Amino acid sequence: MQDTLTEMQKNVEANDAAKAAKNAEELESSWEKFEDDVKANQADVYGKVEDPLGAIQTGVKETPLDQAVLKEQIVKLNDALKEIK
Amino acid sequence: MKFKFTVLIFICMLLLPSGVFADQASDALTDANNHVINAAESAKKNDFVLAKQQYDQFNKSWYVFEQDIKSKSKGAYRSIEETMGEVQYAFAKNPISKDQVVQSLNKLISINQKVITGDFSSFTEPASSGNATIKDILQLLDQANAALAQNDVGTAKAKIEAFRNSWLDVEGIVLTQSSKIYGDAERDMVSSYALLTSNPPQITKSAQTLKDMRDYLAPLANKTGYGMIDVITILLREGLEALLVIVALLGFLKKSGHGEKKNWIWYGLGAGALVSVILGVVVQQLFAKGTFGNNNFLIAGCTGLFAAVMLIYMSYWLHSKSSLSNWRAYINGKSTKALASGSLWSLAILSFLAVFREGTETVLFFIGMASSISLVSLLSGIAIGLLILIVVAFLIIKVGVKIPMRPFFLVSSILVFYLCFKFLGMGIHGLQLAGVLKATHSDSLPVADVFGLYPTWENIIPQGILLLAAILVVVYKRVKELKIQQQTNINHI
Repeated sequence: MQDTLTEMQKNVEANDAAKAAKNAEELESSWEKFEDDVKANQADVYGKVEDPLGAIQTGVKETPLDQAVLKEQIVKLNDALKEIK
Repeated sequence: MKFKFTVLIFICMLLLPSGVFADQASDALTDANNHVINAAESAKKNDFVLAKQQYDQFNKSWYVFEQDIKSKSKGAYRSIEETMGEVQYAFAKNPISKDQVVQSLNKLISINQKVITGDFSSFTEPASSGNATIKDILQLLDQANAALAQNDVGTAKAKIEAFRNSWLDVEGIVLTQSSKIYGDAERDMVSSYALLTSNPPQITKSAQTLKDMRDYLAPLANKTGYGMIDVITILLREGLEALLVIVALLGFLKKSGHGEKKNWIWYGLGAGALVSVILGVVVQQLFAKGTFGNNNFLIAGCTGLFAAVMLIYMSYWLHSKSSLSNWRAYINGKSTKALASGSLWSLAILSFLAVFREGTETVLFFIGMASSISLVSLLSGIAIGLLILIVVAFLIIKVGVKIPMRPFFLVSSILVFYLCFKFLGMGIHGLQLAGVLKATHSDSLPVADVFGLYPTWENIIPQGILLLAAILVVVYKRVKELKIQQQTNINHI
Protein backbone atom coordinates (compact mmCIF):
# COMPACT_ATOMS: atom_id res chain seq x y z
CA MET A 1 0.00 0.00 0.00
CA GLN A 2 2.84 2.31 0.81
CA ASP A 3 4.16 2.00 -2.74
CA THR A 4 0.78 3.01 -4.06
CA LEU A 5 0.82 5.99 -1.74
CA THR A 6 4.20 7.16 -3.03
CA GLU A 7 2.88 6.91 -6.55
CA MET A 8 -0.25 8.76 -5.55
CA GLN A 9 1.76 11.55 -3.98
CA LYS A 10 3.47 12.13 -7.33
CA ASN A 11 0.22 12.02 -9.25
CA VAL A 12 -1.44 14.52 -6.93
CA GLU A 13 1.47 16.88 -7.21
CA ALA A 14 1.25 16.57 -10.98
CA ASN A 15 -2.47 17.24 -10.73
CA ASP A 16 -3.25 13.99 -12.55
CA ALA A 17 -6.78 13.27 -11.30
CA ALA A 18 -7.31 10.14 -13.36
CA LYS A 19 -4.17 8.39 -12.11
CA ALA A 20 -4.84 9.54 -8.56
CA ALA A 21 -8.28 7.98 -8.77
CA LYS A 22 -6.75 4.68 -9.91
CA ASN A 23 -4.35 4.80 -6.99
CA ALA A 24 -7.25 5.36 -4.62
CA GLU A 25 -8.97 2.24 -5.96
CA GLU A 26 -5.81 0.21 -5.49
CA LEU A 27 -5.49 1.44 -1.93
CA GLU A 28 -9.06 0.42 -1.19
CA SER A 29 -8.71 -3.11 -2.57
CA SER A 30 -5.36 -3.68 -0.86
CA TRP A 31 -6.81 -2.52 2.45
CA GLU A 32 -9.78 -4.87 2.14
CA LYS A 33 -7.43 -7.84 2.22
CA PHE A 34 -6.01 -7.25 5.64
CA GLU A 35 -8.29 -4.73 7.33
CA ASP A 36 -9.98 -7.42 9.41
CA ASP A 37 -6.67 -8.53 10.86
CA VAL A 38 -5.69 -4.97 11.74
CA LYS A 39 -9.08 -4.34 13.29
CA ALA A 40 -8.76 -7.45 15.44
CA ASN A 41 -5.17 -6.89 16.54
CA GLN A 42 -4.64 -3.13 16.43
CA ALA A 43 -8.02 -1.51 16.81
CA ASP A 44 -6.56 1.97 17.32
CA VAL A 45 -4.52 1.81 14.12
CA TYR A 46 -7.60 0.62 12.22
CA GLY A 47 -9.35 3.94 12.75
CA LYS A 48 -6.18 5.86 11.88
CA VAL A 49 -6.13 4.16 8.50
CA GLU A 50 -9.84 4.30 7.75
CA ASP A 51 -10.22 8.05 8.35
CA PRO A 52 -7.66 9.38 5.85
CA LEU A 53 -8.48 6.55 3.43
CA GLY A 54 -12.10 7.66 3.36
CA ALA A 55 -11.13 11.27 2.85
CA ILE A 56 -8.81 10.30 0.00
CA GLN A 57 -11.59 8.35 -1.75
CA THR A 58 -13.69 11.51 -1.72
CA GLY A 59 -10.82 13.83 -2.58
CA VAL A 60 -9.87 12.12 -5.84
CA LYS A 61 -13.38 12.66 -7.15
CA GLU A 62 -13.22 16.44 -6.74
CA THR A 63 -12.03 18.41 -9.75
CA PRO A 64 -9.79 20.25 -9.62
CA LEU A 65 -7.91 18.21 -7.04
CA ASP A 66 -7.47 19.91 -3.70
CA GLN A 67 -3.76 19.13 -3.56
CA ALA A 68 -3.25 20.46 -0.06
CA VAL A 69 -5.89 18.30 1.55
CA LEU A 70 -4.95 15.21 -0.43
CA LYS A 71 -1.28 15.49 0.43
CA GLU A 72 -2.14 15.96 4.08
CA GLN A 73 -4.33 12.83 4.08
CA ILE A 74 -1.68 10.84 2.22
CA VAL A 75 0.83 11.68 4.92
CA LYS A 76 -1.65 10.73 7.62
CA LEU A 77 -2.36 7.41 5.94
CA ASN A 78 1.31 6.68 5.47
CA ASP A 79 2.01 7.32 9.15
CA ALA A 80 -0.83 5.01 10.14
CA LEU A 81 0.38 2.26 7.79
CA LYS A 82 3.84 2.45 9.34
CA GLU A 83 2.32 1.46 12.65
CA ILE A 84 0.94 -1.79 11.31
CA LYS A 85 2.89 -4.83 12.41
CA MET B 1 -59.03 -30.89 23.25
CA LYS B 2 -59.10 -27.16 23.82
CA PHE B 3 -56.75 -27.52 26.75
CA LYS B 4 -54.26 -29.46 24.69
CA PHE B 5 -54.42 -26.79 22.05
CA THR B 6 -53.69 -23.98 24.48
CA VAL B 7 -50.80 -25.95 25.94
CA LEU B 8 -49.43 -26.30 22.44
CA ILE B 9 -49.67 -22.59 21.75
CA PHE B 10 -47.98 -21.90 25.06
CA ILE B 11 -45.11 -24.23 24.23
CA CYS B 12 -44.78 -22.57 20.84
CA MET B 13 -44.49 -19.19 22.46
CA LEU B 14 -41.78 -20.47 24.77
CA LEU B 15 -39.92 -21.89 21.83
CA LEU B 16 -39.84 -18.61 19.97
CA PRO B 17 -37.05 -16.74 21.69
CA SER B 18 -38.37 -13.31 22.45
CA GLY B 19 -35.28 -11.37 21.52
CA VAL B 20 -35.29 -12.91 18.08
CA PHE B 21 -36.67 -10.00 16.19
CA ALA B 22 -34.97 -7.31 18.25
CA ASP B 23 -32.36 -5.72 16.07
CA GLN B 24 -29.19 -4.82 17.90
CA ALA B 25 -27.40 -3.37 14.92
CA SER B 26 -30.21 -0.91 14.21
CA ASP B 27 -30.26 0.17 17.85
CA ALA B 28 -26.52 0.77 17.80
CA LEU B 29 -26.84 2.76 14.60
CA THR B 30 -29.68 4.84 16.04
CA ASP B 31 -27.53 5.82 19.00
CA ALA B 32 -24.53 6.52 16.82
CA ASN B 33 -26.62 8.55 14.37
CA ASN B 34 -27.57 10.92 17.17
CA HIS B 35 -23.94 12.02 17.30
CA VAL B 36 -24.07 12.85 13.61
CA ILE B 37 -27.26 14.84 14.13
CA ASN B 38 -25.56 16.79 16.91
CA ALA B 39 -22.56 17.38 14.71
CA ALA B 40 -24.77 18.76 11.94
CA GLU B 41 -26.38 21.15 14.43
CA SER B 42 -23.01 22.38 15.64
CA ALA B 43 -21.77 22.80 12.09
CA LYS B 44 -24.81 24.88 11.22
CA LYS B 45 -23.87 27.16 14.11
CA ASN B 46 -20.33 27.40 12.66
CA ASP B 47 -18.80 25.47 15.56
CA PHE B 48 -16.72 23.09 13.48
CA VAL B 49 -14.43 22.01 16.30
CA LEU B 50 -17.37 20.74 18.32
CA ALA B 51 -18.93 19.27 15.20
CA LYS B 52 -15.80 17.25 14.46
CA GLN B 53 -15.68 16.01 18.05
CA GLN B 54 -19.29 14.88 17.87
CA TYR B 55 -18.75 13.24 14.51
CA ASP B 56 -15.72 11.41 15.90
CA GLN B 57 -17.99 9.80 18.47
CA PHE B 58 -20.06 8.37 15.65
CA ASN B 59 -16.85 7.26 13.95
CA LYS B 60 -15.59 5.40 17.00
CA SER B 61 -18.81 3.52 17.63
CA TRP B 62 -19.20 2.70 13.93
CA TYR B 63 -16.21 0.36 14.08
CA VAL B 64 -17.91 -1.63 16.79
CA PHE B 65 -21.03 -2.58 14.83
CA GLU B 66 -20.01 -2.03 11.20
CA GLN B 67 -19.77 -5.77 10.55
CA ASP B 68 -23.42 -6.27 11.52
CA ILE B 69 -24.50 -3.58 9.08
CA LYS B 70 -22.24 -5.05 6.43
CA SER B 71 -23.83 -8.45 6.78
CA LYS B 72 -27.27 -6.91 6.50
CA SER B 73 -26.48 -5.10 3.29
CA LYS B 74 -23.16 -4.63 1.59
CA GLY B 75 -24.65 -1.80 -0.46
CA ALA B 76 -25.75 0.13 2.62
CA TYR B 77 -22.38 -0.50 4.24
CA ARG B 78 -20.54 0.87 1.23
CA SER B 79 -22.77 3.94 1.11
CA ILE B 80 -22.18 4.72 4.74
CA GLU B 81 -18.41 4.29 4.49
CA GLU B 82 -18.32 6.42 1.36
CA THR B 83 -20.26 9.20 3.02
CA MET B 84 -18.05 8.97 6.09
CA GLY B 85 -15.14 9.63 3.74
CA GLU B 86 -16.96 12.69 2.43
CA VAL B 87 -17.42 13.97 5.96
CA GLN B 88 -13.74 13.42 6.78
CA TYR B 89 -12.77 15.22 3.60
CA ALA B 90 -15.08 18.13 4.31
CA PHE B 91 -13.57 18.58 7.76
CA ALA B 92 -10.05 18.36 6.34
CA LYS B 93 -10.62 21.23 3.97
CA ASN B 94 -8.75 24.45 4.63
CA PRO B 95 -10.62 26.76 4.75
CA ILE B 96 -13.60 24.70 5.84
CA SER B 97 -16.67 25.06 3.71
CA LYS B 98 -19.72 25.13 5.97
CA ASP B 99 -21.98 23.97 3.19
CA GLN B 100 -19.81 20.99 2.38
CA VAL B 101 -19.63 19.88 6.01
CA VAL B 102 -23.35 20.28 6.64
CA GLN B 103 -24.26 18.64 3.36
CA SER B 104 -22.10 15.57 3.94
CA LEU B 105 -23.34 15.20 7.52
CA ASN B 106 -26.97 15.46 6.39
CA LYS B 107 -26.32 12.87 3.70
CA LEU B 108 -24.94 10.51 6.33
CA ILE B 109 -27.92 11.13 8.61
CA SER B 110 -30.38 10.28 5.87
CA ILE B 111 -28.55 7.09 4.88
CA ASN B 112 -28.36 5.99 8.51
CA GLN B 113 -32.07 6.59 8.97
CA LYS B 114 -32.88 4.47 5.96
CA VAL B 115 -30.81 1.61 7.33
CA ILE B 116 -32.36 1.99 10.78
CA THR B 117 -35.85 1.62 9.36
CA GLY B 118 -34.73 -1.36 7.29
CA ASP B 119 -35.21 0.38 3.96
CA PHE B 120 -32.45 -1.04 1.80
CA SER B 121 -34.16 -0.37 -1.50
CA SER B 122 -31.99 2.55 -2.57
CA PHE B 123 -28.68 0.76 -2.07
CA THR B 124 -27.09 -1.07 -4.94
CA GLU B 125 -24.90 -4.02 -4.32
CA PRO B 126 -21.28 -3.21 -5.15
CA ALA B 127 -20.58 -4.45 -8.66
CA SER B 128 -17.28 -6.09 -7.89
CA SER B 129 -18.47 -8.36 -5.11
CA GLY B 130 -21.51 -9.84 -6.85
CA ASN B 131 -22.24 -13.36 -5.76
CA ALA B 132 -19.78 -15.19 -3.61
CA THR B 133 -18.38 -18.21 -5.38
CA ILE B 134 -17.11 -21.41 -3.91
CA LYS B 135 -13.60 -20.12 -4.51
CA ASP B 136 -14.40 -17.12 -2.30
CA ILE B 137 -15.68 -19.19 0.59
CA LEU B 138 -12.75 -21.60 0.27
CA GLN B 139 -10.56 -18.57 0.72
CA LEU B 140 -12.46 -17.70 3.88
CA LEU B 141 -11.81 -21.20 5.22
CA ASP B 142 -8.11 -20.82 4.46
CA GLN B 143 -8.03 -17.46 6.21
CA ALA B 144 -9.80 -18.92 9.21
CA ASN B 145 -7.29 -21.74 9.38
CA ALA B 146 -4.38 -19.35 9.02
CA ALA B 147 -5.75 -17.35 11.92
CA LEU B 148 -6.12 -20.49 14.04
CA ALA B 149 -2.52 -21.41 13.26
CA GLN B 150 -1.60 -18.24 15.12
CA ASN B 151 -4.12 -18.97 17.88
CA ASP B 152 -6.17 -16.01 16.70
CA VAL B 153 -9.62 -17.26 17.67
CA GLY B 154 -11.29 -13.90 17.14
CA THR B 155 -10.36 -13.58 13.48
CA ALA B 156 -11.15 -17.22 12.82
CA LYS B 157 -14.64 -16.78 14.23
CA ALA B 158 -15.13 -13.70 12.07
CA LYS B 159 -14.10 -15.65 8.98
CA ILE B 160 -16.49 -18.48 9.79
CA GLU B 161 -19.20 -15.89 10.33
CA ALA B 162 -18.42 -14.44 6.89
CA PHE B 163 -18.57 -17.95 5.48
CA ARG B 164 -22.04 -18.42 6.93
CA ASN B 165 -23.20 -15.13 5.44
CA SER B 166 -21.93 -16.12 2.01
CA TRP B 167 -23.37 -19.60 2.22
CA LEU B 168 -26.66 -18.61 0.62
CA ASP B 169 -24.88 -17.60 -2.55
CA VAL B 170 -23.28 -20.98 -3.05
CA GLU B 171 -25.62 -23.46 -1.43
CA GLY B 172 -27.42 -24.13 -4.71
CA ILE B 173 -24.19 -25.11 -6.40
CA VAL B 174 -23.29 -27.39 -3.51
CA LEU B 175 -26.72 -28.95 -3.08
CA THR B 176 -27.16 -29.89 -6.71
CA GLN B 177 -23.85 -31.70 -6.77
CA SER B 178 -24.07 -33.55 -3.51
CA SER B 179 -26.72 -33.43 -0.86
CA LYS B 180 -24.36 -35.23 1.50
CA ILE B 181 -21.72 -32.53 1.21
CA TYR B 182 -24.45 -29.93 1.57
CA GLY B 183 -25.57 -31.51 4.82
CA ASP B 184 -22.00 -31.91 6.03
CA ALA B 185 -21.17 -28.29 5.31
CA GLU B 186 -24.27 -26.97 7.07
CA ARG B 187 -23.41 -29.06 10.09
CA ASP B 188 -19.71 -28.19 10.09
CA MET B 189 -20.39 -24.48 9.72
CA VAL B 190 -22.05 -24.60 13.10
CA SER B 191 -19.66 -26.97 14.84
CA SER B 192 -16.46 -25.28 13.72
CA TYR B 193 -17.81 -22.06 15.23
CA ALA B 194 -19.16 -23.77 18.34
CA LEU B 195 -15.79 -25.41 19.01
CA LEU B 196 -14.27 -21.97 19.15
CA THR B 197 -16.86 -20.59 21.56
CA SER B 198 -16.34 -23.36 24.08
CA ASN B 199 -14.20 -22.75 27.08
CA PRO B 200 -11.32 -23.20 26.38
CA PRO B 201 -11.67 -22.88 22.61
CA GLN B 202 -10.96 -26.17 20.86
CA ILE B 203 -8.59 -24.86 18.26
CA THR B 204 -7.14 -28.09 16.88
CA LYS B 205 -10.55 -29.70 16.43
CA SER B 206 -11.99 -26.62 14.79
CA ALA B 207 -8.99 -26.34 12.49
CA GLN B 208 -9.47 -29.97 11.50
CA THR B 209 -13.16 -29.39 10.77
CA LEU B 210 -12.29 -26.38 8.65
CA LYS B 211 -9.70 -28.38 6.78
CA ASP B 212 -12.21 -31.16 6.14
CA MET B 213 -14.70 -28.60 4.87
CA ARG B 214 -12.13 -27.23 2.50
CA ASP B 215 -11.32 -30.70 1.24
CA TYR B 216 -14.84 -31.77 0.48
CA LEU B 217 -15.99 -28.40 -0.87
CA ALA B 218 -13.03 -27.78 -3.18
CA PRO B 219 -14.03 -30.28 -5.88
CA LEU B 220 -17.39 -28.60 -6.20
CA ALA B 221 -15.87 -25.30 -7.25
CA ASN B 222 -15.87 -26.19 -10.91
CA LYS B 223 -19.59 -26.23 -11.43
CA THR B 224 -20.89 -22.89 -12.60
CA GLY B 225 -24.04 -23.67 -14.48
CA TYR B 226 -27.19 -25.67 -13.84
CA GLY B 227 -29.24 -28.09 -15.85
CA MET B 228 -32.72 -29.54 -15.73
CA ILE B 229 -31.54 -32.46 -13.63
CA ASP B 230 -30.41 -30.06 -10.91
CA VAL B 231 -33.82 -28.45 -10.80
CA ILE B 232 -35.51 -31.83 -10.47
CA THR B 233 -33.05 -32.96 -7.81
CA ILE B 234 -33.69 -29.91 -5.68
CA LEU B 235 -37.44 -30.12 -6.08
CA LEU B 236 -37.52 -33.80 -5.16
CA ARG B 237 -35.17 -33.42 -2.24
CA GLU B 238 -37.03 -30.49 -0.71
CA GLY B 239 -40.42 -31.75 -1.71
CA LEU B 240 -40.07 -35.22 -0.20
CA GLU B 241 -40.46 -34.13 3.38
CA ALA B 242 -43.42 -31.91 2.66
CA LEU B 243 -44.84 -34.83 0.71
CA LEU B 244 -44.59 -37.20 3.65
CA VAL B 245 -46.52 -34.86 5.89
CA ILE B 246 -49.23 -34.18 3.31
CA VAL B 247 -49.62 -37.87 2.52
CA ALA B 248 -49.83 -38.79 6.18
CA LEU B 249 -52.53 -36.19 6.67
CA LEU B 250 -54.51 -37.25 3.59
CA GLY B 251 -54.26 -40.91 4.47
CA PHE B 252 -55.40 -40.23 7.99
CA LEU B 253 -58.45 -38.29 6.80
CA LYS B 254 -59.43 -40.96 4.35
CA LYS B 255 -58.99 -43.77 6.82
CA SER B 256 -60.96 -42.07 9.52
CA GLY B 257 -63.84 -41.70 7.14
CA HIS B 258 -63.47 -37.98 6.76
CA GLY B 259 -62.09 -38.11 3.25
CA GLU B 260 -64.36 -35.32 2.12
CA LYS B 261 -62.58 -32.96 4.48
CA LYS B 262 -59.37 -33.29 2.49
CA ASN B 263 -59.96 -29.86 0.98
CA TRP B 264 -58.61 -28.41 4.20
CA ILE B 265 -55.29 -30.01 3.43
CA TRP B 266 -55.32 -28.84 -0.16
CA TYR B 267 -55.99 -25.29 0.98
CA GLY B 268 -53.11 -25.51 3.44
CA LEU B 269 -50.85 -26.89 0.73
CA GLY B 270 -51.94 -24.30 -1.81
CA ALA B 271 -51.52 -21.46 0.66
CA GLY B 272 -48.06 -22.76 1.57
CA ALA B 273 -47.00 -22.91 -2.07
CA LEU B 274 -48.44 -19.50 -2.88
CA VAL B 275 -46.87 -17.79 0.13
CA SER B 276 -43.53 -19.44 -0.66
CA VAL B 277 -43.53 -18.09 -4.19
CA ILE B 278 -44.63 -14.62 -3.10
CA LEU B 279 -42.16 -14.47 -0.24
CA GLY B 280 -39.35 -15.70 -2.46
CA VAL B 281 -40.03 -13.07 -5.08
CA VAL B 282 -40.44 -10.33 -2.48
CA VAL B 283 -37.17 -11.28 -0.84
CA GLN B 284 -35.36 -11.30 -4.15
CA GLN B 285 -36.72 -7.95 -5.23
CA LEU B 286 -36.35 -5.97 -2.03
CA PHE B 287 -33.47 -7.35 -0.10
CA ALA B 288 -29.82 -7.86 -0.79
CA LYS B 289 -29.01 -11.54 -0.52
CA GLY B 290 -26.83 -10.85 2.46
CA THR B 291 -29.71 -9.26 4.32
CA PHE B 292 -31.75 -12.38 4.06
CA GLY B 293 -28.91 -14.69 4.94
CA ASN B 294 -29.53 -15.21 8.60
CA ASN B 295 -33.26 -14.64 8.28
CA ASN B 296 -33.58 -17.66 6.04
CA PHE B 297 -32.07 -19.83 8.73
CA LEU B 298 -34.30 -18.10 11.22
CA ILE B 299 -37.43 -18.92 9.23
CA ALA B 300 -36.29 -22.50 8.80
CA GLY B 301 -35.59 -22.67 12.51
CA CYS B 302 -38.89 -21.26 13.72
CA THR B 303 -41.17 -23.09 11.32
CA GLY B 304 -39.25 -26.28 12.01
CA LEU B 305 -39.86 -26.01 15.72
CA PHE B 306 -43.46 -24.98 15.31
CA ALA B 307 -44.11 -27.84 12.94
CA ALA B 308 -42.40 -30.21 15.38
CA VAL B 309 -44.77 -29.17 18.14
CA MET B 310 -47.84 -29.66 15.98
CA LEU B 311 -46.51 -33.00 14.85
CA ILE B 312 -46.16 -34.13 18.45
CA TYR B 313 -49.84 -33.56 18.84
CA MET B 314 -50.66 -35.30 15.58
CA SER B 315 -48.48 -38.25 16.40
CA TYR B 316 -50.14 -38.62 19.78
CA TRP B 317 -53.56 -38.44 18.21
CA LEU B 318 -52.74 -41.04 15.57
CA HIS B 319 -51.24 -43.36 18.11
CA SER B 320 -54.23 -43.12 20.38
CA LYS B 321 -56.41 -44.04 17.45
CA SER B 322 -54.48 -47.30 17.14
CA SER B 323 -55.09 -48.44 20.67
CA LEU B 324 -57.51 -51.26 21.13
CA SER B 325 -59.99 -49.65 23.49
CA ASN B 326 -60.28 -46.55 21.38
CA TRP B 327 -60.67 -48.71 18.37
CA ARG B 328 -63.54 -50.60 19.94
CA ALA B 329 -65.29 -47.38 20.80
CA TYR B 330 -64.73 -46.31 17.25
CA ILE B 331 -66.28 -49.41 15.78
CA ASN B 332 -69.21 -49.17 18.12
CA GLY B 333 -70.19 -46.16 16.13
CA LYS B 334 -69.47 -43.73 18.91
CA SER B 335 -67.15 -41.55 17.03
CA THR B 336 -68.17 -40.74 13.58
CA LYS B 337 -68.87 -37.36 15.02
CA ALA B 338 -67.42 -34.70 12.80
CA LEU B 339 -63.84 -33.85 13.38
CA ALA B 340 -63.79 -30.79 15.57
CA SER B 341 -63.03 -27.77 13.45
CA GLY B 342 -60.05 -27.22 15.72
CA SER B 343 -58.37 -30.30 14.34
CA LEU B 344 -59.30 -29.39 10.79
CA TRP B 345 -57.53 -26.08 11.23
CA SER B 346 -54.53 -27.88 12.68
CA LEU B 347 -54.43 -30.09 9.62
CA ALA B 348 -54.57 -27.12 7.30
CA ILE B 349 -51.90 -25.25 9.26
CA LEU B 350 -49.71 -28.33 9.33
CA SER B 351 -49.85 -28.81 5.57
CA PHE B 352 -49.24 -25.08 5.15
CA LEU B 353 -46.14 -25.22 7.34
CA ALA B 354 -44.78 -28.34 5.70
CA VAL B 355 -45.04 -26.80 2.25
CA PHE B 356 -44.00 -23.31 3.33
CA ARG B 357 -40.83 -24.53 5.00
CA GLU B 358 -39.49 -26.36 2.02
CA GLY B 359 -41.21 -24.00 -0.39
CA THR B 360 -39.40 -20.78 0.50
CA GLU B 361 -36.03 -22.49 0.34
CA THR B 362 -36.83 -24.06 -3.00
CA VAL B 363 -38.12 -20.83 -4.50
CA LEU B 364 -35.03 -18.95 -3.39
CA PHE B 365 -32.81 -21.66 -4.83
CA PHE B 366 -34.53 -21.43 -8.16
CA ILE B 367 -34.38 -17.66 -8.27
CA GLY B 368 -30.70 -17.84 -7.43
CA MET B 369 -30.18 -20.39 -10.16
CA ALA B 370 -32.23 -18.50 -12.73
CA SER B 371 -29.28 -16.55 -14.03
CA SER B 372 -27.19 -19.68 -14.61
CA ILE B 373 -29.75 -21.84 -16.34
CA SER B 374 -31.90 -21.59 -19.43
CA LEU B 375 -35.53 -20.77 -18.77
CA VAL B 376 -36.66 -23.86 -20.66
CA SER B 377 -34.55 -26.15 -18.49
CA LEU B 378 -35.77 -24.46 -15.34
CA LEU B 379 -39.46 -24.67 -16.19
CA SER B 380 -39.37 -28.19 -17.55
CA GLY B 381 -37.34 -29.26 -14.54
CA ILE B 382 -39.97 -27.83 -12.19
CA ALA B 383 -42.78 -29.44 -14.18
CA ILE B 384 -41.16 -32.88 -14.23
CA GLY B 385 -40.19 -32.64 -10.58
CA LEU B 386 -43.74 -31.77 -9.56
CA LEU B 387 -45.10 -34.56 -11.69
CA ILE B 388 -42.85 -37.12 -10.03
CA LEU B 389 -43.88 -35.86 -6.60
CA ILE B 390 -47.57 -36.17 -7.47
CA VAL B 391 -47.15 -39.70 -8.83
CA VAL B 392 -45.23 -40.79 -5.73
CA ALA B 393 -47.84 -39.22 -3.47
CA PHE B 394 -50.62 -40.96 -5.35
CA LEU B 395 -48.91 -44.33 -5.07
CA ILE B 396 -48.31 -43.93 -1.36
CA ILE B 397 -51.92 -43.01 -0.71
CA LYS B 398 -53.21 -45.87 -2.84
CA VAL B 399 -51.03 -48.40 -1.09
CA GLY B 400 -51.71 -46.85 2.28
CA VAL B 401 -55.47 -47.21 1.90
CA LYS B 402 -55.21 -50.97 1.46
CA ILE B 403 -53.54 -51.44 4.82
CA PRO B 404 -55.92 -52.28 7.65
CA MET B 405 -56.82 -49.46 9.99
CA ARG B 406 -54.93 -50.13 13.16
CA PRO B 407 -51.54 -50.83 11.66
CA PHE B 408 -52.06 -47.87 9.38
CA PHE B 409 -52.61 -45.52 12.28
CA LEU B 410 -49.71 -47.05 14.12
CA VAL B 411 -47.34 -46.73 11.18
CA SER B 412 -48.40 -43.20 10.41
CA SER B 413 -47.97 -42.20 14.01
CA ILE B 414 -44.41 -43.54 13.90
CA LEU B 415 -43.81 -41.76 10.61
CA VAL B 416 -45.16 -38.51 11.92
CA PHE B 417 -43.12 -38.90 15.09
CA TYR B 418 -40.00 -39.42 12.97
CA LEU B 419 -40.75 -36.21 11.09
CA CYS B 420 -41.38 -34.43 14.35
CA PHE B 421 -38.05 -35.64 15.74
CA LYS B 422 -36.29 -34.58 12.58
CA PHE B 423 -38.01 -31.17 12.36
CA LEU B 424 -37.09 -30.50 15.97
CA GLY B 425 -33.45 -31.20 15.18
CA MET B 426 -33.52 -29.18 11.99
CA GLY B 427 -35.39 -26.33 13.64
CA ILE B 428 -32.79 -26.02 16.37
CA HIS B 429 -30.02 -26.33 13.81
CA GLY B 430 -31.61 -23.54 11.77
CA LEU B 431 -31.67 -21.28 14.80
CA GLN B 432 -28.02 -22.11 15.48
CA LEU B 433 -27.15 -21.23 11.90
CA ALA B 434 -28.99 -17.94 12.32
CA GLY B 435 -26.79 -17.28 15.32
CA VAL B 436 -29.80 -17.01 17.58
CA LEU B 437 -29.14 -20.18 19.55
CA LYS B 438 -25.84 -21.28 20.98
CA ALA B 439 -24.17 -24.41 19.72
CA THR B 440 -22.25 -26.53 22.22
CA HIS B 441 -20.41 -29.12 20.24
CA SER B 442 -19.53 -32.57 21.43
CA ASP B 443 -17.74 -35.35 19.59
CA SER B 444 -19.49 -38.06 21.53
CA LEU B 445 -22.85 -37.07 20.07
CA PRO B 446 -24.15 -38.92 17.00
CA VAL B 447 -24.53 -37.25 13.66
CA ALA B 448 -27.24 -38.34 11.28
CA ASP B 449 -28.73 -35.96 8.77
CA VAL B 450 -31.61 -38.31 8.08
CA PHE B 451 -32.86 -38.08 11.66
CA GLY B 452 -31.99 -34.44 12.06
CA LEU B 453 -29.30 -35.42 14.53
CA TYR B 454 -26.55 -32.84 14.96
CA PRO B 455 -23.65 -33.10 17.37
CA THR B 456 -24.62 -30.32 19.75
CA TRP B 457 -26.16 -30.54 23.18
CA GLU B 458 -28.82 -28.00 22.29
CA ASN B 459 -30.04 -30.55 19.76
CA ILE B 460 -29.67 -33.80 21.61
CA ILE B 461 -31.27 -32.76 24.87
CA PRO B 462 -34.65 -31.64 23.48
CA GLN B 463 -34.70 -34.59 21.09
CA GLY B 464 -33.80 -36.94 23.91
CA ILE B 465 -36.58 -35.53 26.05
CA LEU B 466 -39.00 -35.93 23.16
CA LEU B 467 -37.99 -39.53 22.59
CA LEU B 468 -38.20 -40.35 26.27
CA ALA B 469 -41.60 -38.70 26.62
CA ALA B 470 -42.89 -40.62 23.62
CA ILE B 471 -41.65 -43.94 24.99
CA LEU B 472 -43.20 -43.20 28.38
CA VAL B 473 -46.54 -42.30 26.82
CA VAL B 474 -46.56 -45.44 24.69
CA VAL B 475 -45.68 -47.67 27.62
CA TYR B 476 -48.23 -46.00 29.85
CA LYS B 477 -50.99 -46.43 27.31
CA ARG B 478 -50.05 -50.02 26.68
CA VAL B 479 -50.26 -50.78 30.38
CA LYS B 480 -53.59 -48.99 30.63
CA GLU B 481 -54.85 -50.91 27.64
CA LEU B 482 -53.86 -54.22 29.11
CA LYS B 483 -55.68 -53.33 32.30
CA ILE B 484 -58.82 -52.40 30.39
CA GLN B 485 -58.53 -55.59 28.38
CA GLN B 486 -58.35 -57.62 31.54
CA GLN B 487 -61.36 -55.86 32.93
CA THR B 488 -63.39 -56.31 29.75
CA ASN B 489 -62.49 -60.00 29.69
CA ILE B 490 -63.60 -60.36 33.26
CA ASN B 491 -66.87 -58.61 32.51
CA HIS B 492 -67.57 -60.87 29.60
CA ILE B 493 -67.17 -64.04 31.49
